[in-house]
Amino acid sequence: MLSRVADALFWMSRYLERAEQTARLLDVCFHLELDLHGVGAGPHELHWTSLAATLRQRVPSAHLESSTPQAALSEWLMFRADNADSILSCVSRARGNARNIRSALHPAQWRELNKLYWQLNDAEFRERARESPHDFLHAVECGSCLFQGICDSLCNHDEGWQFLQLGRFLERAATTLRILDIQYHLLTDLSSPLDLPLANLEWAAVLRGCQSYDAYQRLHGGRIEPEGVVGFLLARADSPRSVRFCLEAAERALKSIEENSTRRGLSHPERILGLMRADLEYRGLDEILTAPLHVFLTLMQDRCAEVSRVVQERYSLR
Amino acid sequence: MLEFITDRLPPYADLFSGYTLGSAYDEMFEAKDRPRPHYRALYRRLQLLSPDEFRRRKAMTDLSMLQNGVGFTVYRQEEGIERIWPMDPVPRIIPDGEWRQIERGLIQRLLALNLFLKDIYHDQLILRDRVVDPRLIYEGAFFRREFMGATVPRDIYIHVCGTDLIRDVDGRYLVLEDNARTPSGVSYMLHNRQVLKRVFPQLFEQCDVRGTDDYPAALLAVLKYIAPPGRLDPTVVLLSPGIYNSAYFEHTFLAQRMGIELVEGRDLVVDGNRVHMRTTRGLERVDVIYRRIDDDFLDPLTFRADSALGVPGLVNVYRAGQVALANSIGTGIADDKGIYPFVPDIIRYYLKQDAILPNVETFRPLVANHLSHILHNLDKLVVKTVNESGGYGMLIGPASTAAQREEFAARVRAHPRDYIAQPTIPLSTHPTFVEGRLEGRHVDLRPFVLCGEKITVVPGALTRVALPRGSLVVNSSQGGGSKDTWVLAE
Amino acid sequence: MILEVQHETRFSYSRPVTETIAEVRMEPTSDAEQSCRSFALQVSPRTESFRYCDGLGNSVHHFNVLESHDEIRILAASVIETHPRPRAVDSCRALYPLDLSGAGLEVLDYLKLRGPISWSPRLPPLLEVLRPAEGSFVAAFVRNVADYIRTHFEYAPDVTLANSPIDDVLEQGKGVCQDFTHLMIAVLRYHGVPARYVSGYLHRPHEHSQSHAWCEVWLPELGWFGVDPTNDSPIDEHYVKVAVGRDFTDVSPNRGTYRGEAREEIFVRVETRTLTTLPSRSWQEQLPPLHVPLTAIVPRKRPSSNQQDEQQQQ
Repeated sequence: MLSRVADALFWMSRYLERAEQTARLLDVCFHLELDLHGVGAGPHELHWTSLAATLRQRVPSAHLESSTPQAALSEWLMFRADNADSILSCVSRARGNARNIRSALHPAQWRELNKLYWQLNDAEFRERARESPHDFLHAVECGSCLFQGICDSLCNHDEGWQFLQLGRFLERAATTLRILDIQYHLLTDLSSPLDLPLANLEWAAVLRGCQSYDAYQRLHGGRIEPEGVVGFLLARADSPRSVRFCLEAAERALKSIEENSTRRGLSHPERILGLMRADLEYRGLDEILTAPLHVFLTLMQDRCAEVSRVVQERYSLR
Repeated sequence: MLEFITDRLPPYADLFSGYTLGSAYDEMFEAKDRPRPHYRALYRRLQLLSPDEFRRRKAMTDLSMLQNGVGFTVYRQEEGIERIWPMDPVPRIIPDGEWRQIERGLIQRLLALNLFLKDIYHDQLILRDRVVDPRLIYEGAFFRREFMGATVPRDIYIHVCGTDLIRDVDGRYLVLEDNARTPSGVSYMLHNRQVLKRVFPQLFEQCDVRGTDDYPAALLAVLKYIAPPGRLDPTVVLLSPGIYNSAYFEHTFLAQRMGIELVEGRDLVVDGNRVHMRTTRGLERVDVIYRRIDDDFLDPLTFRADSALGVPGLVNVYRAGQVALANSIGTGIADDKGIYPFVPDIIRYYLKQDAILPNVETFRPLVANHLSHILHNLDKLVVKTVNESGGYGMLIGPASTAAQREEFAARVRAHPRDYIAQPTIPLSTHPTFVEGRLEGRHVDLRPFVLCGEKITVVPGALTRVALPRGSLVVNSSQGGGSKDTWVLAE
Repeated sequence: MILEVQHETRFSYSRPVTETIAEVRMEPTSDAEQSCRSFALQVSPRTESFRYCDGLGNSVHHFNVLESHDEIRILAASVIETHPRPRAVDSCRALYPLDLSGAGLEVLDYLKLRGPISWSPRLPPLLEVLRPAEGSFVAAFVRNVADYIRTHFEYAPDVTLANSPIDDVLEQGKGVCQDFTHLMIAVLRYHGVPARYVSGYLHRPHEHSQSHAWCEVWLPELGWFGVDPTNDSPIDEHYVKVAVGRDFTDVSPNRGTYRGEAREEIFVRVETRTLTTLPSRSWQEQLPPLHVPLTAIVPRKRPSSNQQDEQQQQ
């Protein structure tokens, strides 16, 4: 397939996944805000700070003058066109990629993405979102899920589909790793007994942000233990939200892309993915947690970025 | 932004109520309420449909066009605006006998134009014999002297030609112009048929309409025919300027129907005097390029250096015979309006035959007595710029203001090579659904001619219709619509 | 006279680039006045080159280099035997205005102002001064134009650019051989005398040799005849003709594109020398070698943060 088409598919998928993640994390933040009112004293801005850190975003100071930090941040993350990673920017970049390769898409793929784009750009819809962001954020999540459903059930699972998979799962793995990296250190500092209810809420929010709260509760129940969350989000084999699952899915996509290649042996991206997966599969959580988790997570994040880079080099994307 | 044409109108009892005939030739009626023999079956069918029913179905065709993105981009605006190109559901019918004459005429014309191009780019005998004034060629904007002496696969220059025909008051078919560079519109011909069949199946009953579905396969066969020698299963691609081009819908449509890759300039790269496309498996050789990019933008190394749409080095690979292009380079000199008046002479020169399809009478400002005729009759003539298409840069005398005529007179005097003038011909009219009933609107006819192993014409055409009352401009960019065109079997 | 010409061009880039594709017009022509006995083109990085004859009759070589590189070197070496030219321009007795009926169709290309030879409001005074009288010798007119330009304009490098229109040389009153040639062509064409641009080399025994440009006019009896508006000299055995065109843009010695963002610098070396006999076949092997190693394809420098790898490159 043409490299240009593969590139557009890869990024279309990544940007849409990014929009969905940002929407979910924001939604969780708004909910947490409400929950925290019941817990009493505590550092309320903590989850907003960690959201910004997770998404590696800083609101330009000019935007901070006229509103509260929270309002400025949510405006920045949802709507700002000058933020390349705002939800609107991501959806718009996904649609831009789709438009350039329309002839290679299933008509339904284009239709849904286009519909989402116009829905989010509706002025009235956006105005309402400033009052009550939930509908807006929910629309983004739904749009993304619908789009993925169409890809999975209407389109051929051909080479193009594999690039969609690759984009989606690399993006999801990278985000989950960052969430863990930021939260683990913030939250394990809350060790006094007084902080416990707060910590519990915060850990639940982490799970919700990764769409894993219910699945986790079914398995563990009771109080949420930091090690349990880390174990679940990193290495759980059967959760489509875990890093391990994402890496395996990305690896399968790469294998399939390489299948008809005349090139021999493992490709460079496959080798890196294999290393990462082996770490998660064979080292075990205990051993991972003997060293500072941050070191391990940083290494994993670097490798994720490297995979993205070598994928583009190998398939002459861009 | 999408614009829709909606009909909000008073009810009529009969679609044909109030249909009037003007001075122009009417395609359907020979006299009031008397349809021509080949239209009788359709006429009866249409009479059975109530205007309301008809309007409902017409809305379905519009919706279908919208959903399928059968749009085009209008130029000369701040931003390109996507519009649908409205299809009028009343088909235009051409009986077998008339079609045969058109077909023979088009084949003869394309045969001669290809011989002309080969001659112009090699021996120039027709210029030496002064049948065509050499200055017209050398001063033509589309003459590619860079390409002199180059051989092209199988000596075919024009592989796809869209020739515009009109009918005069007597119903005679005349050639208005040839489109020998990158003619477009064939996707509408194919798509209109699909839509009409779905929405108005009853109209097809009792009519033996010849199919047009074969066109993509026929085009692909032509493209494979010109592949470099020894390439048994040639890779064919369609080269498009990209999504901002007005004909992008057609590019995607044809690529999908032919099952070939739709590429942009940046997807192709020249290496070792071969053209390749960049794929996820590395470079893959390309043998034939159906290019929908103008010569100027094709190769920044040979033509416009600032072109970002083209492929550097492409022309040299073509010259070396390692890739084929359709259409070839420099075909614009054959559809140059300055050369157009000479096409009957060109046919006579190479084929020793008279032209089967006559030209429209044309005056050339370069000829002294033509110039004075033009300047004295600007209010009756159509004056055209030779280097512009799409109905831009044109003066329609009867509809012009004195100021416009003065401006054109000055331009014609200053640049006689750049203009031609023709009498205003009232194009034939055809019943067209406007405001709840059928009214006569002017139409033209663009059949598509393919030249490969032999020259063929798919039995169908694009009929363009000028929707505003009395308008003679059928171009999509200027308020035109289209019709399905039926060629009847014997 | 037997001349050897070495024309070396080096393009160097501030950062590695890819997909260079280039076309060069460096092979001398063969006609009644000169015979190109040998020609060799060397390109480094090594790559195959191809040749064709363009629409104006010039030999063109082209090549490409796909992989990353930060330098391209081209050496065009040729051996040319130049022949004596027995006739002077004044041997043409044609009178003004010129009768073109004996000319080939191609002169039509050499009668229009175009490209850098475009109309300038500074041109009319010159056209007036040099206007030929009806019934006068065209050859005298041609000589006049060359003499006038040579004496009224100053030869000065670095005043004009490679793509300067004649307006520049008219405004500055100075320029190089290319500007003088364009100017002469403009005057001749305006007065109905077909004129074309010639690129080539001038061998100067005791001075540094150089690339050169002059003008050819079409005259009855003589055909295309060379005149040098820069030097007060007939086009003789010291001149080597490479390519002809409507103006400089048709004959530029090299033209190309590459992919990448880099500053490009160009170095040129032209050397000519006389030989006493035609060289042997192995002459090509004695040419100075060109060695440009391919820049190894190093993985690009690691960006300071992963964030950049997570954005699409446009």
